Amino acid sequence: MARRYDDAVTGTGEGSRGTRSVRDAQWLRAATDRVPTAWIPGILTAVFLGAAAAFGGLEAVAAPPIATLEPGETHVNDMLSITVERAVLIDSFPEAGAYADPDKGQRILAMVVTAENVWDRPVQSMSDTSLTGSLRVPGLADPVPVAAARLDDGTNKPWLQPGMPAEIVVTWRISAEEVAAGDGITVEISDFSLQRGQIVFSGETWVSPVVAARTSVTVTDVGAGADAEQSGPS
Amino acid sequence: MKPWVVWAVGVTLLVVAWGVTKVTPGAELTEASFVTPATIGERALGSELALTIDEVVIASTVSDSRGWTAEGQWLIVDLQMSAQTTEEVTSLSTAILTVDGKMYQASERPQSLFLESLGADIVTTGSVAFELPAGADSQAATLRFAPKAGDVRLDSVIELSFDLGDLSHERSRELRPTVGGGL
Repeated sequence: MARRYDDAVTGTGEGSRGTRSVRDAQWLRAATDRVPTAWIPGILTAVFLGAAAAFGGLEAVAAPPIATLEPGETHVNDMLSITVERAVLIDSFPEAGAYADPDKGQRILAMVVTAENVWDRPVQSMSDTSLTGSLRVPGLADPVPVAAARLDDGTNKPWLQPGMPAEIVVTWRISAEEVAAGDGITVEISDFSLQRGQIVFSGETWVSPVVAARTSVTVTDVGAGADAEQSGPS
Repeated sequence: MKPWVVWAVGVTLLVVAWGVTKVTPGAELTEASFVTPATIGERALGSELALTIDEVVIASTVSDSRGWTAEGQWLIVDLQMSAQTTEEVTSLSTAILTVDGKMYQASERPQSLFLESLGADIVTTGSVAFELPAGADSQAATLRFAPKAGDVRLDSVIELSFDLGDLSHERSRELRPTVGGGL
């Protein structure tokens, strides 16, 4: 029995069946016999590292380029379609939920943004994980918006229903000298990834905003606001 | 055992195992809400919410008693609602219309019953309004109401299924003022 086993493995003895697989195993055995077993992990590691190096190793993967949008051009991601329309400087904008204290030199930068929800369920516009979370003005001391409201009826923190575009006033509280009329400001628009939870983490939530587009808008100074101009001193 | 029998039994068992994973009900069933079907004009009782849907119409101009108005395609639901046992953290917080796989939430723009608190056995009457994209006609739609926001898995919901094409269209409609509730 021992004799037959040896024959079968090495394929040298008289009892050899001479099958192809046995002959194929011969060179492998001959090769591995000469390599000390302790070397094998080292060799495999070297092969792995070599292959990794051939594909670029630990070099950072180039991030997808950030689109530069023309003024008024629309950026669409998986959650929202966002168009920055225009921007105004105003002393205070309580109708849009943005209050500025002139004694502290504060003013409001208000931006009209057309937003459409392209997802399949309602999205709250004023949230770190939706419209106001994806709009940043990196040139400001505080690039995060302070409020969002509908332009047509002034609804504060409006919900965006699927497939229904709405004009939203997104506002930033700035110090008066930060932005002047006629300045161009750059707005960064981030894309979120949809995270689907399982087992421990349940439900769905938008996470990891990545800047996907930059757009610019020219600021108009409207003083104390359109209403104040129209009504004048009474 | 003959080798081909072993193979046949092995493959059959694999196919059966795959079939079992396919027919096992998923989260849609194990986490489904407890649905109370509603009919128009009749009182539907959930575990806490009691609701009567009086009328469902579509209007192209909608207004409320405060003078707010908006154009578009609006689905308006006239309701009477109350709680059954408690007024603690009970309000009409879930009001969702599902059309073609898309979920629309009752609009927060007009004065409506959406997010209004429920009185225990004291009926509040009023309306809720849903803003729809133009062209959402003659499709199956489902309305869902629950006294709790967001997650209604394994919770009681009141549901009305209908076809948008069966609803009467009105040119303009005013939402019923929110009345009652003991507040």
